[in-house]
Amino acid sequence: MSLSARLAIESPWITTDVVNIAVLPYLAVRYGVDNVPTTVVNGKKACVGVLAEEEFVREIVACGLR
Amino acid sequence: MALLKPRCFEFFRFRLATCRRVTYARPMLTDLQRLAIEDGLRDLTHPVTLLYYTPDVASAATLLERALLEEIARRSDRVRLHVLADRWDSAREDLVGIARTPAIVVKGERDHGIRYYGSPDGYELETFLAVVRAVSDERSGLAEGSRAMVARLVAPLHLEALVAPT
Repeated sequence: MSLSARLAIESPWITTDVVNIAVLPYLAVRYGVDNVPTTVVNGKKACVGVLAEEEFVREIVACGLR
Repeated sequence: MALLKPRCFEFFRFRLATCRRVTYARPMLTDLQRLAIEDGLRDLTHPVTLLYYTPDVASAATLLERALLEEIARRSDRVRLHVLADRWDSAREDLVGIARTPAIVVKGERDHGIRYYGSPDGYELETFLAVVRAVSDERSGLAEGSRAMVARLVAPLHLEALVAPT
């Protein structure tokens, strides 16, 4: 299951868009996506590729605490 | 001018007639998709609402997306689908909490802010059904350590998970 959606269920601070870049290719260009999945946090590229849950959550939370 | 009027009328009648002929074949789901939906939605605990914001003029892609959502709603009495076909502009999209159309909102007792842009088919279908289940259960399924990290957040985070079709 999508980890970003799990995070949205877990925390009222988090919202998630799951975007198919074939439908919205301009987003891939805007964020310089060269690999999927790519997770963007508050408009900035944060995680690229499939990460283990703990690593992914650490990266995302770090973005929120910076 | 008097001569032009009937011609104009004929022209628009012709346009109307040709518009009426532009129809899309109803999209068919595969047996594999139906099976995945049936398995994915078995014994949901609480109601889930799917809001489908779509333009009032259908395209082949939105018809396929809608057919998939209708099948999902048909397979479980715990899933309700509301199709909101309209002329959406950015102001109205902001008002209902979406960034663009077509968009799928998955919400349970509360809205967790989960939005899908692009049909969740292929491998994404199983992921989507798992999200529906998690929203129904109101449980993220994250490990204790992850939940503890998330609990430290005190400011809004908006994630965009960019995925590719499969």
